[in-house]
Amino acid sequence: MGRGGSAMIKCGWPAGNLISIVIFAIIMATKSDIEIVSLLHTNREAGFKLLVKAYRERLYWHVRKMVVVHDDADDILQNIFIKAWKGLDSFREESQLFTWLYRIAVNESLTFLAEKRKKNIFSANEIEDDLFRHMESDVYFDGDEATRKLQKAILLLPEKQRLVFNMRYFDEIKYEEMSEILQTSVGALKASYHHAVAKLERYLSEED
Amino acid sequence: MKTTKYHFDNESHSGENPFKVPDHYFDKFEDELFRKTFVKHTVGKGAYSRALRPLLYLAAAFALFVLVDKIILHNTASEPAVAENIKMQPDADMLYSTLDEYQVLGLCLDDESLTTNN
Repeated sequence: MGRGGSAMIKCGWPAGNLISIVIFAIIMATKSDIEIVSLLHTNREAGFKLLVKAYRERLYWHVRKMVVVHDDADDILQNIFIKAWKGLDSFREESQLFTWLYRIAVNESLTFLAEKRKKNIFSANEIEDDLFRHMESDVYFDGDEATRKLQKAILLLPEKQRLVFNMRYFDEIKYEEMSEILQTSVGALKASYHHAVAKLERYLSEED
Repeated sequence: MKTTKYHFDNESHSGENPFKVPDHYFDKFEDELFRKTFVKHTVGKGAYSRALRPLLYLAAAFALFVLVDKIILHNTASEPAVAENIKMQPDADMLYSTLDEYQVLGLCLDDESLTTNN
Protein backbone atom coordinates (compact mmCIF):
# COMPACT_ATOMS: atom_id res chain seq x y z
CA MET A 1 0.00 0.00 0.00
CA GLY A 2 1.28 3.46 -0.83
CA ARG A 3 1.91 6.31 1.50
CA GLY A 4 -1.33 8.00 0.82
CA GLY A 5 -3.25 4.86 1.63
CA SER A 6 -1.63 4.33 4.98
CA ALA A 7 -2.07 7.99 5.82
CA MET A 8 -5.71 7.72 4.98
CA ILE A 9 -6.09 4.76 7.30
CA LYS A 10 -4.12 6.46 10.04
CA CYS A 11 -6.03 9.68 10.24
CA GLY A 12 -9.20 8.43 8.66
CA TRP A 13 -10.19 5.72 11.16
CA PRO A 14 -13.55 7.27 11.95
CA ALA A 15 -14.06 8.28 8.34
CA GLY A 16 -13.16 4.76 7.21
CA ASN A 17 -15.59 3.41 9.71
CA LEU A 18 -18.25 5.77 8.48
CA ILE A 19 -17.60 4.74 4.89
CA SER A 20 -17.92 1.07 5.78
CA ILE A 21 -21.16 1.79 7.65
CA VAL A 22 -22.51 3.66 4.63
CA ILE A 23 -21.42 0.84 2.28
CA PHE A 24 -23.05 -1.67 4.58
CA ALA A 25 -26.25 0.39 4.69
CA ILE A 26 -26.31 0.55 0.90
CA ILE A 27 -25.72 -3.17 0.63
CA MET A 28 -28.46 -3.78 3.18
CA ALA A 29 -30.88 -1.56 1.33
CA THR A 30 -30.26 -3.28 -1.98
CA LYS A 31 -30.45 -6.81 -0.69
CA SER A 32 -33.62 -8.28 -1.98
CA ASP A 33 -35.39 -11.43 -0.92
CA ILE A 34 -33.65 -13.29 -3.73
CA GLU A 35 -30.26 -12.29 -2.43
CA ILE A 36 -31.18 -13.29 1.10
CA VAL A 37 -32.43 -16.67 -0.11
CA SER A 38 -29.30 -17.30 -2.15
CA LEU A 39 -27.13 -16.35 0.83
CA LEU A 40 -29.17 -18.74 2.97
CA HIS A 41 -28.09 -21.48 0.57
CA THR A 42 -24.40 -20.68 0.72
CA ASN A 43 -24.08 -19.44 4.30
CA ARG A 44 -27.14 -20.21 6.35
CA GLU A 45 -26.22 -18.20 9.40
CA ALA A 46 -25.11 -15.09 7.51
CA GLY A 47 -28.21 -15.31 5.35
CA PHE A 48 -30.41 -15.57 8.38
CA LYS A 49 -28.79 -12.57 10.03
CA LEU A 50 -29.50 -10.61 6.89
CA LEU A 51 -33.10 -11.80 6.92
CA VAL A 52 -33.51 -10.66 10.53
CA LYS A 53 -32.05 -7.26 9.67
CA ALA A 54 -34.30 -6.89 6.66
CA TYR A 55 -37.56 -7.88 8.36
CA ARG A 56 -37.29 -7.15 12.07
CA GLU A 57 -38.90 -3.71 11.88
CA ARG A 58 -41.73 -4.51 9.50
CA LEU A 59 -42.69 -7.59 11.44
CA TYR A 60 -42.35 -5.85 14.78
CA TRP A 61 -44.75 -3.06 13.80
CA HIS A 62 -47.24 -5.51 12.45
CA VAL A 63 -47.17 -7.54 15.67
CA ARG A 64 -47.12 -4.48 17.91
CA LYS A 65 -50.30 -3.11 16.36
CA MET A 66 -52.00 -6.41 17.04
CA VAL A 67 -50.81 -7.02 20.61
CA VAL A 68 -50.22 -3.37 21.62
CA VAL A 69 -47.76 -4.10 24.46
CA HIS A 70 -44.10 -3.69 23.53
CA ASP A 71 -42.80 -6.56 25.68
CA ASP A 72 -45.33 -8.95 24.15
CA ALA A 73 -44.43 -7.78 20.66
CA ASP A 74 -40.76 -8.32 21.48
CA ASP A 75 -41.38 -11.90 22.66
CA ILE A 76 -43.50 -12.65 19.62
CA LEU A 77 -40.91 -11.21 17.26
CA GLN A 78 -38.26 -13.48 18.76
CA ASN A 79 -40.59 -16.47 18.35
CA ILE A 80 -41.22 -15.52 14.74
CA PHE A 81 -37.51 -15.61 13.92
CA ILE A 82 -36.92 -18.80 15.87
CA LYS A 83 -39.75 -20.45 13.94
CA ALA A 84 -38.40 -19.06 10.70
CA TRP A 85 -34.94 -20.44 11.44
CA LYS A 86 -36.32 -23.84 12.35
CA GLY A 87 -38.56 -23.84 9.30
CA LEU A 88 -36.01 -22.65 6.75
CA ASP A 89 -35.94 -26.10 5.17
CA SER A 90 -39.70 -26.04 4.70
CA PHE A 91 -39.63 -22.63 3.05
CA ARG A 92 -40.67 -23.10 -0.55
CA GLU A 93 -38.89 -20.70 -2.76
CA GLU A 94 -41.79 -20.20 -5.11
CA SER A 95 -43.49 -18.23 -2.33
CA GLN A 96 -41.95 -14.93 -1.29
CA LEU A 97 -39.85 -14.64 1.82
CA PHE A 98 -41.95 -11.66 2.80
CA THR A 99 -45.20 -13.65 2.48
CA TRP A 100 -43.80 -16.58 4.41
CA LEU A 101 -42.52 -14.43 7.29
CA TYR A 102 -45.68 -12.39 7.45
CA ARG A 103 -47.73 -15.57 7.65
CA ILE A 104 -45.66 -16.72 10.63
CA ALA A 105 -46.10 -13.27 12.21
CA VAL A 106 -49.88 -13.33 11.72
CA ASN A 107 -50.16 -16.82 13.18
CA GLU A 108 -47.98 -15.97 16.15
CA SER A 109 -49.94 -12.81 16.91
CA LEU A 110 -53.32 -14.53 16.65
CA THR A 111 -52.11 -17.47 18.75
CA PHE A 112 -50.84 -15.05 21.39
CA LEU A 113 -54.16 -13.22 21.52
CA ALA A 114 -56.12 -16.47 21.67
CA GLU A 115 -54.01 -17.65 24.61
CA LYS A 116 -54.40 -14.32 26.32
CA ARG A 117 -58.15 -14.53 25.83
CA LYS A 118 -58.16 -18.06 27.27
CA LYS A 119 -56.27 -16.91 30.36
CA ASN A 120 -58.62 -13.97 30.68
CA ILE A 121 -61.75 -16.08 30.66
CA PHE A 122 -62.65 -15.38 34.29
CA SER A 123 -61.89 -11.70 34.08
CA ALA A 124 -64.72 -9.18 33.87
CA ASN A 125 -62.84 -7.23 31.19
CA GLU A 126 -62.27 -8.15 27.59
CA ILE A 127 -58.60 -8.25 26.67
CA GLU A 128 -59.21 -5.33 24.32
CA ASP A 129 -60.20 -3.19 27.34
CA ASP A 130 -56.97 -4.19 29.05
CA LEU A 131 -55.00 -3.42 25.94
CA PHE A 132 -56.56 0.00 25.61
CA ARG A 133 -55.94 0.75 29.28
CA HIS A 134 -52.34 -0.30 28.80
CA MET A 135 -52.06 1.93 25.74
CA GLU A 136 -53.29 4.95 27.67
CA SER A 137 -50.49 4.65 30.22
CA ASP A 138 -47.86 3.32 27.85
CA VAL A 139 -44.70 5.40 27.63
CA TYR A 140 -44.14 3.91 24.20
CA PHE A 141 -47.39 5.27 22.83
CA ASP A 142 -47.15 8.72 21.40
CA GLY A 143 -50.43 9.62 19.79
CA ASP A 144 -52.68 12.63 20.02
CA GLU A 145 -56.32 12.45 21.06
CA ALA A 146 -57.55 11.58 17.55
CA THR A 147 -54.98 8.77 17.24
CA ARG A 148 -55.93 7.46 20.66
CA LYS A 149 -59.59 7.36 19.63
CA LEU A 150 -58.73 5.62 16.40
CA GLN A 151 -56.64 3.01 18.21
CA LYS A 152 -59.46 2.39 20.66
CA ALA A 153 -61.89 1.98 17.77
CA ILE A 154 -59.50 -0.43 16.03
CA LEU A 155 -59.28 -2.51 19.19
CA LEU A 156 -63.04 -2.85 19.15
CA LEU A 157 -63.00 -4.49 15.72
CA PRO A 158 -63.27 -8.27 15.42
CA GLU A 159 -59.77 -9.76 15.36
CA LYS A 160 -59.71 -10.73 11.68
CA GLN A 161 -61.04 -7.34 10.59
CA ARG A 162 -58.45 -5.66 12.79
CA LEU A 163 -55.77 -7.75 11.15
CA VAL A 164 -56.90 -6.86 7.64
CA PHE A 165 -57.36 -3.21 8.54
CA ASN A 166 -53.86 -2.94 10.08
CA MET A 167 -52.24 -4.70 7.15
CA ARG A 168 -53.95 -2.44 4.63
CA TYR A 169 -54.08 0.88 6.44
CA PHE A 170 -50.80 0.88 8.35
CA ASP A 171 -48.57 -1.68 6.64
CA GLU A 172 -49.85 -0.79 3.15
CA ILE A 173 -49.85 -4.38 2.02
CA LYS A 174 -51.57 -4.94 -1.30
CA TYR A 175 -54.71 -7.06 -1.30
CA GLU A 176 -53.01 -9.59 -3.59
CA GLU A 177 -50.12 -10.04 -1.15
CA MET A 178 -52.51 -10.10 1.77
CA SER A 179 -54.47 -12.78 -0.01
CA GLU A 180 -51.35 -14.94 -0.20
CA ILE A 181 -50.46 -14.34 3.43
CA LEU A 182 -53.92 -14.94 4.85
CA GLN A 183 -54.99 -17.52 2.27
CA THR A 184 -58.19 -15.56 1.69
CA SER A 185 -59.64 -14.24 -1.55
CA VAL A 186 -59.02 -10.63 -2.52
CA GLY A 187 -62.77 -10.02 -2.62
CA ALA A 188 -63.23 -11.24 0.93
CA LEU A 189 -60.34 -9.11 2.12
CA LYS A 190 -61.71 -6.01 0.45
CA ALA A 191 -65.10 -6.66 2.00
CA SER A 192 -63.46 -7.17 5.38
CA TYR A 193 -61.54 -3.90 5.07
CA HIS A 194 -64.64 -1.95 4.07
CA HIS A 195 -66.67 -3.43 6.94
CA ALA A 196 -63.88 -2.41 9.30
CA VAL A 197 -63.78 1.11 7.89
CA ALA A 198 -67.57 1.44 8.18
CA LYS A 199 -67.44 0.38 11.82
CA LEU A 200 -64.58 2.72 12.58
CA GLU A 201 -66.31 5.67 10.93
CA ARG A 202 -69.47 4.93 12.82
CA TYR A 203 -67.63 4.66 16.11
CA LEU A 204 -65.56 7.77 15.57
CA SER A 205 -68.51 9.89 14.48
CA GLU A 206 -70.41 8.80 17.61
CA GLU A 207 -67.40 9.70 19.74
CA ASP A 208 -67.10 13.12 18.11
CA MET B 1 -67.47 13.83 7.54
CA LYS B 2 -65.03 14.38 10.37
CA THR B 3 -63.43 11.01 10.03
CA THR B 4 -62.08 11.70 6.55
CA LYS B 5 -58.96 13.01 8.29
CA TYR B 6 -58.05 9.35 8.71
CA HIS B 7 -58.07 8.71 4.92
CA PHE B 8 -59.54 5.22 5.26
CA ASP B 9 -60.70 5.13 1.69
CA ASN B 10 -57.31 5.68 0.17
CA GLU B 11 -54.77 3.80 -1.82
CA SER B 12 -52.08 6.35 -1.16
CA HIS B 13 -52.24 7.39 2.47
CA SER B 14 -51.02 5.16 5.22
CA GLY B 15 -51.94 5.50 8.84
CA GLU B 16 -49.55 7.21 11.16
CA ASN B 17 -47.92 4.86 13.60
CA PRO B 18 -48.39 6.14 17.15
CA PHE B 19 -46.38 3.37 18.78
CA LYS B 20 -42.79 3.81 19.85
CA VAL B 21 -40.01 1.50 20.93
CA PRO B 22 -37.26 1.87 23.54
CA ASP B 23 -34.11 3.61 22.30
CA HIS B 24 -31.94 1.47 20.01
CA TYR B 25 -34.40 -1.39 20.35
CA PHE B 26 -33.91 -2.65 16.79
CA ASP B 27 -30.14 -2.41 17.04
CA LYS B 28 -30.17 -4.45 20.20
CA PHE B 29 -32.85 -6.86 19.06
CA GLU B 30 -30.59 -8.90 16.84
CA ASP B 31 -27.94 -9.32 19.53
CA GLU B 32 -30.62 -10.27 22.03
CA LEU B 33 -32.13 -12.77 19.63
CA PHE B 34 -28.83 -14.46 18.90
CA ARG B 35 -27.66 -14.33 22.50
CA LYS B 36 -30.81 -15.35 24.37
CA THR B 37 -32.68 -17.61 22.07
CA PHE B 38 -31.16 -18.20 18.70
CA VAL B 39 -27.92 -19.70 20.07
CA LYS B 40 -29.85 -21.84 22.54
CA HIS B 41 -32.23 -23.14 19.90
CA THR B 42 -30.05 -23.39 16.89
CA VAL B 43 -26.34 -23.59 17.45
CA GLY B 44 -27.66 -26.95 18.28
CA LYS B 45 -26.57 -30.42 17.67
CA GLY B 46 -23.10 -29.86 16.26
CA ALA B 47 -22.03 -27.59 19.07
CA TYR B 48 -23.52 -29.80 21.73
CA SER B 49 -21.89 -32.92 20.38
CA ARG B 50 -18.58 -31.03 20.17
CA ALA B 51 -18.97 -29.92 23.77
CA LEU B 52 -19.99 -33.38 24.91
CA ARG B 53 -17.24 -35.23 23.07
CA PRO B 54 -14.60 -35.02 25.86
CA LEU B 55 -17.22 -36.16 28.34
CA LEU B 56 -18.08 -39.10 26.11
CA TYR B 57 -14.41 -40.05 25.89
CA LEU B 58 -14.17 -39.78 29.66
CA ALA B 59 -17.25 -41.94 30.12
CA ALA B 60 -15.87 -44.54 27.68
CA ALA B 61 -12.53 -44.58 29.53
CA PHE B 62 -14.36 -44.99 32.81
CA ALA B 63 -16.46 -47.82 31.43
CA LEU B 64 -13.31 -49.53 30.16
CA PHE B 65 -11.68 -49.11 33.53
CA VAL B 66 -14.69 -50.60 35.30
CA LEU B 67 -14.72 -53.50 32.83
CA VAL B 68 -11.04 -54.26 33.37
CA ASP B 69 -11.50 -53.91 37.09
CA LYS B 70 -14.45 -56.30 36.98
CA ILE B 71 -12.37 -58.88 35.16
CA ILE B 72 -9.59 -58.55 37.72
CA LEU B 73 -12.11 -58.68 40.55
CA HIS B 74 -13.72 -61.68 38.94
CA ASN B 75 -10.36 -63.47 38.90
CA THR B 76 -9.67 -62.65 42.52
CA ALA B 77 -13.23 -63.44 43.58
CA SER B 78 -12.33 -67.07 44.17
CA GLU B 79 -9.72 -66.02 46.74
CA PRO B 80 -12.10 -65.06 49.50
CA ALA B 81 -13.94 -68.29 48.86
CA VAL B 82 -10.73 -70.26 49.43
CA ALA B 83 -10.04 -68.29 52.54
CA GLU B 84 -13.57 -68.98 53.61
CA ASN B 85 -12.98 -72.72 53.15
CA ILE B 86 -9.84 -72.45 55.20
CA LYS B 87 -11.72 -70.61 57.86
CA MET B 88 -14.42 -73.24 57.81
CA GLN B 89 -11.91 -75.98 58.28
CA PRO B 90 -11.57 -75.65 62.08
CA ASP B 91 -15.36 -75.77 62.35
CA ALA B 92 -15.40 -79.07 60.41
CA ASP B 93 -12.63 -80.38 62.64
CA MET B 94 -14.61 -79.37 65.67
CA LEU B 95 -17.70 -81.14 64.30
CA TYR B 96 -15.78 -84.30 63.58
CA SER B 97 -14.21 -84.20 67.01
CA THR B 98 -17.63 -84.22 68.62
CA LEU B 99 -18.69 -87.34 66.66
CA ASP B 100 -17.57 -90.83 67.33
CA GLU B 101 -16.04 -93.15 64.72
CA TYR B 102 -19.33 -94.79 63.63
CA GLN B 103 -21.15 -91.47 63.26
CA VAL B 104 -18.33 -90.18 61.08
CA LEU B 105 -18.44 -93.34 59.00
CA GLY B 106 -22.20 -92.94 58.72
CA LEU B 107 -21.83 -89.38 57.53
CA CYS B 108 -19.24 -90.45 54.98
CA LEU B 109 -21.53 -93.15 53.67
CA ASP B 110 -24.37 -90.64 53.46
CA ASP B 111 -22.11 -88.33 51.45
CA GLU B 112 -21.14 -91.18 49.14
CA SER B 113 -24.76 -92.23 48.66
CA LEU B 114 -25.65 -88.60 47.85
CA THR B 115 -22.90 -88.32 45.25
CA THR B 116 -23.79 -91.68 43.69
CA ASN B 117 -27.46 -90.68 43.56
CA ASN B 118 -26.51 -87.50 41.81
